[in-house]
Amino acid sequence: MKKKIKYYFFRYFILIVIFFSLAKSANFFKNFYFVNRDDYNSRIKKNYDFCNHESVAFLHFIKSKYKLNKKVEIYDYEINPNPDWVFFNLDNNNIYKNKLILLNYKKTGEIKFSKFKNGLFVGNVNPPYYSNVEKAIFSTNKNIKKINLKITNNIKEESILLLSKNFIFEYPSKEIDLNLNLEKFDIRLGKLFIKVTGEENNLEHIEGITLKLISKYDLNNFKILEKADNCYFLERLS
Amino acid sequence: MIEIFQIFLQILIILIFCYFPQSYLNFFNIGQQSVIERISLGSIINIFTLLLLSFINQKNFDLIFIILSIIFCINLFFLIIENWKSKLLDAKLIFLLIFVVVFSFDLANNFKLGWDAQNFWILKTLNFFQEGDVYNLVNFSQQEYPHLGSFIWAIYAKISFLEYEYLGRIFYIFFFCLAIFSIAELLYFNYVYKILFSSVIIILTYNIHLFNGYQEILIFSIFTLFSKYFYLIIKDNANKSFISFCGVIIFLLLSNSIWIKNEAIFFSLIFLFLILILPKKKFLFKLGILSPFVLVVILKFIIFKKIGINTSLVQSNFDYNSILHLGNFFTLDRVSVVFLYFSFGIISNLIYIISIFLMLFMFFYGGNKTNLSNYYISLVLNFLSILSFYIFTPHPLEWQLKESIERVLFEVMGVYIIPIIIFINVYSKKIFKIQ
Repeated sequence: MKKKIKYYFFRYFILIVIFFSLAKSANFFKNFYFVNRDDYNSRIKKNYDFCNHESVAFLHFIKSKYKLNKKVEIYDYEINPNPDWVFFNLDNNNIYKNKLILLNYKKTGEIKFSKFKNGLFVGNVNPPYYSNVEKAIFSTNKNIKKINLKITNNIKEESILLLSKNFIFEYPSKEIDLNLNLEKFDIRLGKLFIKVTGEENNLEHIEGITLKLISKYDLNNFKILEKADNCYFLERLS
Repeated sequence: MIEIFQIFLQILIILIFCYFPQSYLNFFNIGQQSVIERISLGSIINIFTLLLLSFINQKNFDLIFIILSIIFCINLFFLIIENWKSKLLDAKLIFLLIFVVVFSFDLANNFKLGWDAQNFWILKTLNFFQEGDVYNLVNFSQQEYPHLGSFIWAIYAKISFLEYEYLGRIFYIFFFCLAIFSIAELLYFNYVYKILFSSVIIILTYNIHLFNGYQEILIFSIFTLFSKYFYLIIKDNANKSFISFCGVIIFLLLSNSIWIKNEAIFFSLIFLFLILILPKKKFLFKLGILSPFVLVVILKFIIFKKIGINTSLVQSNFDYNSILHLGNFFTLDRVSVVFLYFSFGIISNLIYIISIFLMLFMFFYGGNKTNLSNYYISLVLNFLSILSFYIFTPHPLEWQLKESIERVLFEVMGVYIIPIIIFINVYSKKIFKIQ
């Protein structure tokens, strides 16, 4: 009898230990408490950043506040997972044409190019939603007088020429005004390269290049319906 | 409180959907099976049924729910009839449900979707959730990714009354826990040790990120179940009708896998190769598994072509230009980087470490007690295929390795739980003095 009790005690003791170690390792009681206390929308705010990364919590907030039941165009200025799914609608034409959302918006941006080999520089990112390259700034200790600049975007095997131009400066400088319009190029995909050539020896001293960009969307052209940090819900001014 | 009730209800609904009546097994002349065994069979058939239903077009979408309702009612009927008088109160089933409940609450509180899940998988899921059909997937990015995992996710989210997307992912949790409880049935010990073994394996493997919308967890569970039925057919004492039944289940498992992730085709072919080289099995049996599987693969390509979906396995990874210049990828630098990350991937999947250690032990000291040749072959072939995926990728190698090698290794890890089970069955009496 004693042996049997010992056997059953051992058996149930193992099962109880399993249960509590499982509950502890998966934070069961804490999770149960939070699921009971917070509703689904509150937990969305906890799980996703409000206005950072994919900003799903901001999108959910707008969706419920403005009772949006159609698609809204979303432009994320940083590279994050696509949050389009928040407004997913089977009908592609079911879209608010006069509204848009900007996430992680920056009025100006930049692409840093590091030296790949002599005279050839490779960009660190391909930031989307910038319409203009304002200027190129060279990281060098010597000023430049004459230079040929060639900017390309390489997508797989194809190389798309964005700019090829000679620059001659009256006064030696480390900056070039480019005013390159990017509207007709889709630079979201691919790898950006800058090739510099010239007769001057000081081009070898260029260690890096920074392109200064201007946003495609100017907030002055929109009515701001909602703003949280750098996330905007906008309506086009007609 | 409603949501808590919904989570419990969701688990119950999944359990009923995945129940496989003993009466059906009697019809196939298969003996009495445990509840866990029947539910694991039911889950495989449930996934296959959902695969077939996923091809119903948008106009007849209601038909899916009519068929599912009929299946649900039949299963519920048999569940009650067959388990009348508390037969269902099986300790293993109770613990399986405890695991599912605990992890479901973890998911309910931490339901953030992963990167690829937000980019691709959830969009496919929402397509089905909003009653779009498979023919609509032509409008999506990464259209070549198969849809079954998303379809399951959508259907189970849809049948919940709160209709939150994460409720659909509870099926993934259920299937994962079930696969491990099911494989533990191969142990020659009583239910306490089976529960203990399942618990250790689950706790070693579990991570909430496995359920962030990625599909690897389904592949892991499918291949874990595959390894169980593979083990049953290579066992000497199995009867003929049971072996044929296992053959059918293996076919269903491998067919399901290729509709969840594309790389599952490569792994499935490796597993089929293992079946083909089995010495004591009839050619007809091998052909009976191989030919319908090949047919399903061909059918998949035909269906994708018909719908207008890209048929390349991983469009962005292996384009034709890369195939023409394979030699360029095979450099010392690339191979060493792949090996480095591969080692990290193995270390982070702890089951591999335990299993490989035990396999080596049995190789050197096992003598005639254990024959693991199939597992050595599959380990080598799986590892070689994973290494080759990465060595020949035209994408930034380090980025791709960092992002995915752990997950790809995880997909086939379940197969190597079997050597652990064999080790325990053979050596535990000596080591632990278990009877």
